[in-house]
Amino acid sequence: MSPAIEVNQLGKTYRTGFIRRRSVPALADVSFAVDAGSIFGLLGPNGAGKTTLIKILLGLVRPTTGQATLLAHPAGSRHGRAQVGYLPEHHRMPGHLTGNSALTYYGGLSGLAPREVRRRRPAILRQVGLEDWGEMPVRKYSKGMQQRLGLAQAMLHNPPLLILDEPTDGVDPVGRREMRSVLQSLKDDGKTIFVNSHLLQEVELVCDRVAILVHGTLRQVGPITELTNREATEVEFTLVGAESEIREALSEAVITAWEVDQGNQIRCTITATDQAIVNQCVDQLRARRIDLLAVTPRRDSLEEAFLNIVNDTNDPL
Amino acid sequence: MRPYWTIFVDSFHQAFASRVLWIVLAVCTLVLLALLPLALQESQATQLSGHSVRDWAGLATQIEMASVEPADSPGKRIWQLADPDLRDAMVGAAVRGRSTQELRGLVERMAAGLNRLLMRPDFFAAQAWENVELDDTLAQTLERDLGGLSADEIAWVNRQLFQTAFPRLVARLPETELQLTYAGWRLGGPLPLSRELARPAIARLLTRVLDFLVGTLAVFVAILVTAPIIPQIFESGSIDLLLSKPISRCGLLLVKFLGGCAFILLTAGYLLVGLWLILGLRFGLWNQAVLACLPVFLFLFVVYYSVSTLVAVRWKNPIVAVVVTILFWAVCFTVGVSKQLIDRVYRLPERLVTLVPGADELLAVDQSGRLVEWQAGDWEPVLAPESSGARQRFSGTQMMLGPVYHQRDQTLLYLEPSGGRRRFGFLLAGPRFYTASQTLGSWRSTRGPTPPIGTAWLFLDPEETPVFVTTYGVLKLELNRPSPPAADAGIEVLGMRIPLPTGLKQPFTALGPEPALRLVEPFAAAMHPQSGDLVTFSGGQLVYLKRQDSGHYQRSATRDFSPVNGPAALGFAGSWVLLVRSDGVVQILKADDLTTHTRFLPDGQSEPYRVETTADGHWFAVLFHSGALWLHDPRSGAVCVLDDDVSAVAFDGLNHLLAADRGRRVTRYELASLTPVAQQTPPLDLLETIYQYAILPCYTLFPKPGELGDVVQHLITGQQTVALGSPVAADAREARARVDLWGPVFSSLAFVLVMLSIACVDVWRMDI
Repeated sequence: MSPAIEVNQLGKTYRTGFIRRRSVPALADVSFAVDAGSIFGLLGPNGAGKTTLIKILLGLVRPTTGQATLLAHPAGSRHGRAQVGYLPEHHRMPGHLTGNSALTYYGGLSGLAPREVRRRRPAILRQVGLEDWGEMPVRKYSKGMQQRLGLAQAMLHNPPLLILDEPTDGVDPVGRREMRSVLQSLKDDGKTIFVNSHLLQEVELVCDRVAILVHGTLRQVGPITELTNREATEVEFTLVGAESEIREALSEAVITAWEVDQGNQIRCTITATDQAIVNQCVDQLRARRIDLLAVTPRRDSLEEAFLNIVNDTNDPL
Repeated sequence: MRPYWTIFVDSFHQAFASRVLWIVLAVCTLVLLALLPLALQESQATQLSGHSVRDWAGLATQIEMASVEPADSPGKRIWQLADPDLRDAMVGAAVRGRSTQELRGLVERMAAGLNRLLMRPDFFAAQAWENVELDDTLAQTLERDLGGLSADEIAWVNRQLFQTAFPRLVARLPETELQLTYAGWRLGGPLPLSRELARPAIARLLTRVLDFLVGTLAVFVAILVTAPIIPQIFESGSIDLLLSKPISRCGLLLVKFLGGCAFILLTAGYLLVGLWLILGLRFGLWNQAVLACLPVFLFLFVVYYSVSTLVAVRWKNPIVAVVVTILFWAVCFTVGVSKQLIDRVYRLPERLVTLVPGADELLAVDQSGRLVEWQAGDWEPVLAPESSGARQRFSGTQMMLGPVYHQRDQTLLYLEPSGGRRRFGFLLAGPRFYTASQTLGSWRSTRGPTPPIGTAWLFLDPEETPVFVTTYGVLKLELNRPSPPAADAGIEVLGMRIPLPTGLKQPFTALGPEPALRLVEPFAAAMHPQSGDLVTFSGGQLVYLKRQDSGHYQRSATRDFSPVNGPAALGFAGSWVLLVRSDGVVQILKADDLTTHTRFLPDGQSEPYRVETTADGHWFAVLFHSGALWLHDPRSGAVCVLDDDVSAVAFDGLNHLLAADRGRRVTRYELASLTPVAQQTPPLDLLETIYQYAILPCYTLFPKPGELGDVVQHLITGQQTVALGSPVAADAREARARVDLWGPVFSSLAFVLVMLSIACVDVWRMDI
């Protein structure tokens, strides 16, 4: 199956200034692919080029180098855009529209007949929790309600690909949870979802794969589990046995933490260069008849992984 | 197409959601409600007003003179019935040398006094009108008992009596009059017009009203209101959302542009439909052209809005868009006014309007009334008009009646209308007659006897005797008869010296017809070059005046063309009369019975300027104010349109046609083949060179939204030219300028296309 989004050596340099033209690089040599039917997260600090990348995908900005495709159509092409539902960050809908008429308007822009919009509207509004607010003018909507309506208009024409820029921005925790469940159900329906978000916990909870952009370059791309694992394996053992025997059994590894808990329970953490050493440590412990109450491999949270990647980057473009 | 249609439809939703639209519509409603009580009431004409009498001073004098005569007469009867105020006003008006302002006050008092008299049931006294020929209807009415008539009917009968008693002094009064009312209140005095005759005046007024209300006010408000529409779509969060949909950037811009026009469409449409309904319901004038103006005003707005759109795309700021659009309007206005000023002040006054081929020389009259002669490769002014009114000085136009070339004396005879003479046809002075002769190579004019008020045409009969056609008849001037004595000649009445009425004891001989003509100014006239017969056209009536052996004229045939009205031109030669109506229709009539032989519409609804004929009646040349020159040979039926920029035409009697075009160039055509045989082109002077090579190209390239008002005027009035001197050029000979109807449309359209193309390219290249 061909990827839903394919980005190949994409680069963008803005030119600013009227008299003294100045080049501002925003993206450089970015390549990745988003599998169809997955939820993909794009992460990066402010100014990393995330919005530029999305705008290139939608044809709002022309790339300086490279190319990208959406559902096998060149990025920005009308056919490609017809199959995308987009929720921009800080989107603004005309104030004269109500929830219902906004969906009619944006549905019409996506090529839906008014009758078809009217047919789909109740279910969509229910899905985003706005079923009672369809007649209210958009200008009276709260930030969270506007985000929900934005998501509704992106889903209205049933696109196979959704690009969501900060979808939970301004949404309360309950709303976030609802939105996560919406995204999950969309994924279950086979849709591809491309999410750009600052909220790493949200991304961690819903995304299958993520890409991390820093200063316009792609630092990491892959499944979240890959990103959150360290290069050296850390394992935490909870053991019951003699301290001297335990230390002897773990002599092949480096003990980084040692804690005696409530009498004879010992919690210790080891660092090993590969899994074979961990296996050997386990064999030695069992040979000395030491009880293994728990063996827990230690993993970073996405936030820690993200911060590590960002902090490791000191080479701005 | 659905996405674009959705955006377009949303523009209307946006407009309806705008508070400004409702405020503007409320203002429009107030304006329409304010106009709603206006109405025109048509009633039988019973009252006299300032314009009812051609020569109030003459009337006052005649009544005073009649009062001391022993015999009964209408004048004596009026004097007997007159109250002291009317008598005082008449005595005052009869004194010569009054200023126009003084005379106007006296005229108002006289009109009011006479109106009081006309209401009296005892106004008519049989012995007073004994020697007055009454028409059959009036005579039959008088035979009945006047006591059974209503007050209005009595006033009408009395007015007819008054009119019949003073045929030369009292204008031919219309049967009906119009009264402008506001919620039943009378505004001003009654207008001596029928509803049909009022139509052009109302159309002109309506043009002004629309030009101001819709063309200026509504467009200005629309510019302010629509200025944010384009910048709004470029706002962050809005443009991303729009362009993520399957629509093109240029398509989005153009549909938003069209949607912006929804505002002016709604407001202007509301106002125009309202005005159309008021005109129809309150004035009885259902003029569909009012509705047809909507696209013109929409286009006018489109021109300005295209500028606003480009600026909005470039700077994305509504305030900058409004400021630049207003600056653009100012520049357009300045360019248009500059060009018009140069045309009016420098170019039009020098345009040749009459060609006078002399014995050896070629003379011409230009628009400013100067007589110029072709000398050494250029037109040299040889005579300037003696005086001109303020309006003529400003507009650079002066109408000269004539000149006609007197071959035997080698002189030119012409009439100069007195300046500022007309106020609703209220004449205070007649034209001045001049004879110009050449002495030692230079022309000098001599003022001749003053023709009577109402003189409008001057001809030379086959014996080269000057013949004047006035509103009431034909006069002959004996050139060698001595001038009248000093102006203070008069008679003593009640201790006051009353001057003799204008026109009496002048060296003019009345040539009939009997009864008097009673033409309404302005009228058209033409003389047959061989027989000296005359035709006149006035108020839709064509009259053939046959010249008797005695030199007097008698009605030979009449034909009523009602309700055809407006300025017309006549030609008379051979056995044909050629009538060119104000609607551009040319009718070839058989002279003997005035029946129509052929009809043509050579140049649309162009107003005619003049008709020239060859002496043998072979060729008729019709020159329209639009500049079209149309030639016709009634015998063979040959028709030829010669040029479209002609301002003067003449036949030289040597089988040549002379036509002046490009202002001052004269081309001589061989009549048999209509090929040019000679051309007199004056050299370009500095100003003309700058005009031709700098101003005109700039003006041509620049959009002309301000001149779209001319298109509105054309739609409503049907006129293709505008009057230069008087705002209402009622005489076909009065100066008019051709209105370029399509030029401003095309140049503005090209401008809009360029603006939108640049905006589209900008949007297409833009990174959002």
